[in-house]
Amino acid sequence: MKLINKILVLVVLIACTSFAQLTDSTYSLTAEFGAGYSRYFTTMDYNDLNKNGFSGTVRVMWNPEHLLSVGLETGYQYLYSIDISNYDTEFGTTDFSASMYTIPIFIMFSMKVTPNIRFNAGTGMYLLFNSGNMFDDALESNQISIGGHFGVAYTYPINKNISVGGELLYSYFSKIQDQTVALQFVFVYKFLEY
Amino acid sequence: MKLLLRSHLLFILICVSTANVLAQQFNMNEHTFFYPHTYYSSQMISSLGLSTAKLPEDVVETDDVFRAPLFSYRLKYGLPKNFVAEGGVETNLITFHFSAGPKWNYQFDKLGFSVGADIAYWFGKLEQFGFDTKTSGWMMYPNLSAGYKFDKFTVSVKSELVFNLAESSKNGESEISNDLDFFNGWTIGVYFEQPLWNDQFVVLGIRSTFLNFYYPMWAAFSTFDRTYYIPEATFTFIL
Amino acid sequence: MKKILLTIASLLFIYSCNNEVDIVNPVVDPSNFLAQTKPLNFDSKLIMDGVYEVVKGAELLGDQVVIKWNRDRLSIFSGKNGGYIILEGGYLDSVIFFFGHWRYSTNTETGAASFYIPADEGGGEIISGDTTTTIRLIGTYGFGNEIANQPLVFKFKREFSQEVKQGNFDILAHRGGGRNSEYLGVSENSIEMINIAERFGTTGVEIDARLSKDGVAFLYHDNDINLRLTQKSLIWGDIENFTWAQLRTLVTLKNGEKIPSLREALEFVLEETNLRTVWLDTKDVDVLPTSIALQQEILQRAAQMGRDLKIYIGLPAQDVYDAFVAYPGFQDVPSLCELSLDQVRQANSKVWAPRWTQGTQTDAVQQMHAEGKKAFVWTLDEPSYIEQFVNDGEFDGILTNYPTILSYYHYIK
Repeated sequence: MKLINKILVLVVLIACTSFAQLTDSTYSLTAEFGAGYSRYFTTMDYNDLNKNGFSGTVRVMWNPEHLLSVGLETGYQYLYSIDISNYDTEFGTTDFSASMYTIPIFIMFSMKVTPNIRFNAGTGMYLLFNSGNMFDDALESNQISIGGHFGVAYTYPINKNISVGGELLYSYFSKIQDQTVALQFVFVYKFLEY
Repeated sequence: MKLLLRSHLLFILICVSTANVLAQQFNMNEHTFFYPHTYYSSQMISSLGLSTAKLPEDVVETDDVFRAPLFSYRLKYGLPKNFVAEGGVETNLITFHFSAGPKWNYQFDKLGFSVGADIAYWFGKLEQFGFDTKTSGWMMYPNLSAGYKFDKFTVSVKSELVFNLAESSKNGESEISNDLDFFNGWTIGVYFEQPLWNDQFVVLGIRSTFLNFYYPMWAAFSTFDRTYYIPEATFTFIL
Repeated sequence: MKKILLTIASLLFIYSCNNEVDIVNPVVDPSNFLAQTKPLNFDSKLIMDGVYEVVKGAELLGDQVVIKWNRDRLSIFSGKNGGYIILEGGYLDSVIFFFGHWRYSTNTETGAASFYIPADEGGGEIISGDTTTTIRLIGTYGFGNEIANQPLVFKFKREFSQEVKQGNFDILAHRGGGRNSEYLGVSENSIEMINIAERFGTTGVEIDARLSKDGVAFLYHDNDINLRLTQKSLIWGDIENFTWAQLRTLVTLKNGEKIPSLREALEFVLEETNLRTVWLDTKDVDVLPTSIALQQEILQRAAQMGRDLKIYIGLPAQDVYDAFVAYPGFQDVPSLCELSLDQVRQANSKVWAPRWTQGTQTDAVQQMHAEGKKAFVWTLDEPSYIEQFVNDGEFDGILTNYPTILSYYHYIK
């Protein structure tokens, strides 16, 4: 092979290394599963209010070749519960219980700030589910609240398709003007790349 | 054959290199709208966006509502000597807001600044749900922007003062005019511009408005003499 | 790292702001001086009603004000920023003293205000019940919690016109007297709000009726438990999902009150106020039978007491209208219809009440008058439009969140 051709092949090979970087920046779809602990923050003043519970998220994210990803999220988040015996009221004494959990339906944006750290932000609606009992009458009610998520996630790739890590997630519920902070373990699975 | 091989190898090389460049670097001045870069004469950039706002519950009488989305189209046109002409239209279908004005941009390496003023005409009309209302007005927005260019995105801050120049409304046969205070308030917004895919840039922005009169909310007929904080979120495609 | 900090800083800035309003409650009679005075009788109070020139203090209240007694307070209404003053009064020797506060309707600017009427400038005559047109209120006002040291002097100009005195115009206050967003210190649709409504010049109130899961009618405007109307609680959702006991126990209105039942509200109007009109808005079709039954009972009791009280069942929407005209004997139920003129006739409503955004609609109003019906309009708040509707319109009443502004434009006619 003549020198020029050798040089050209060499250059192409080198360029292909860069191109390999480009193929690293191909598009992908990932499913992200988060599960962990959630703490509810409120200005309600009840001594017996249980504010600790489970938080879980499921996201499908579209990851183009740049910093920003976009996707959809749902999940489950426990907010609070309370159980009071012999609660005095103007109608007599009663046992009283109430609880609330929420399911988010969000559009999510995620921005890579370092190779392993992402900033996540989303907005959309929360489905609020409220239940309980008082005077042997059930309390059952559902509502929609707008709100937002802000989170910082750290993930480490285990292999080409799987990453694991953690996320600190702040959520705000506009209807009830309360918030939660959740710490979740995160499992990310890249199920499509193109 | 030799020529063909070399041509092919060269073509591959060029494509890869170009793709490589595209993958790694953008000329932000070609792709950003809010970042106050210098424009060359007749350079044109436009944007198509959607914004929504959390409305004050005092006015809309609901504690949990986003304003119906406001669609906006904006265009910037480069003029000589660092000037830019900007114009745009915003609408939520019962309200239209047309604005236009000059800006002077200055860019120093990665830092950019701009100063300008827009004049706007807005009008709203509602003839359903017990309304027989038309309203319109003129506003002025002196504005200041600053921005910084990172490798893969820009961040810009834009602040405006808002003045009511004139306003009138008509309900049935009853009409009043110029009932609003001249100084309406101010706004400040932060905008992140970056590519989403290929060279398609998008803008994610959050804007805080501190206004007595928020024109998209005219149909609420707010009579409160207070300054309201109304946060907006915006998502925009750069065209 | 720079990018992270930048993002955090931006978000913190954006979300650090809110729309909370700080309300100052001025200290109005720090030495409790009024406890030493005697109350004025009814005839004495009437002598004071009229239009007054603002001799000093025009920067606060403009050039003229309306002064009017109601139940137990003296109210002063102005055309500047919807300004008003509410005073308690009493006399000692031959001097009449007043202590209270001023406030602008459309914002929360407020302060203390106090006055006296000297014996030789009307005080003596008023106390004895002798008519006089030489009345001078000499006083001061302040801002916020500052001492009231700015001069404020009113001089009697004229009585109310014959048209105003003989007319039966209704100044109707929205939601029992005002909305939560007026920051009056009491909640809309509460007994506490109805109790102070007359101080704003109100002659009637509009209240909103709903039904609990177990069939108790109560006052509440919105269809769900929310933070506009209530303090945070453990129950959320559509209000019809909860029993009366649950609502009464677990829900506290914004300013700390309990949700009143419709019975409580109507009995309060009947027994504790001089209000002459109640617009009983039907927020929920299911509450209609209960509202009608209570309306009939209270009207009967009012007649027995010799009390001039009108209670109209509000028909704001088609579904409520349909349920009303299906009610046995609906033609004898006094109602107020917000829909078309034909529907007013079909329901045999006593009042037609269109939205103000349709204008003064003088032809239609005259048509209603010709048929022996009244016409109210709702909910009109813009001061310039209030003035137009009072001067150019022919409505028999205006529903507003600013009865003080409406009172001013009505009484200066």
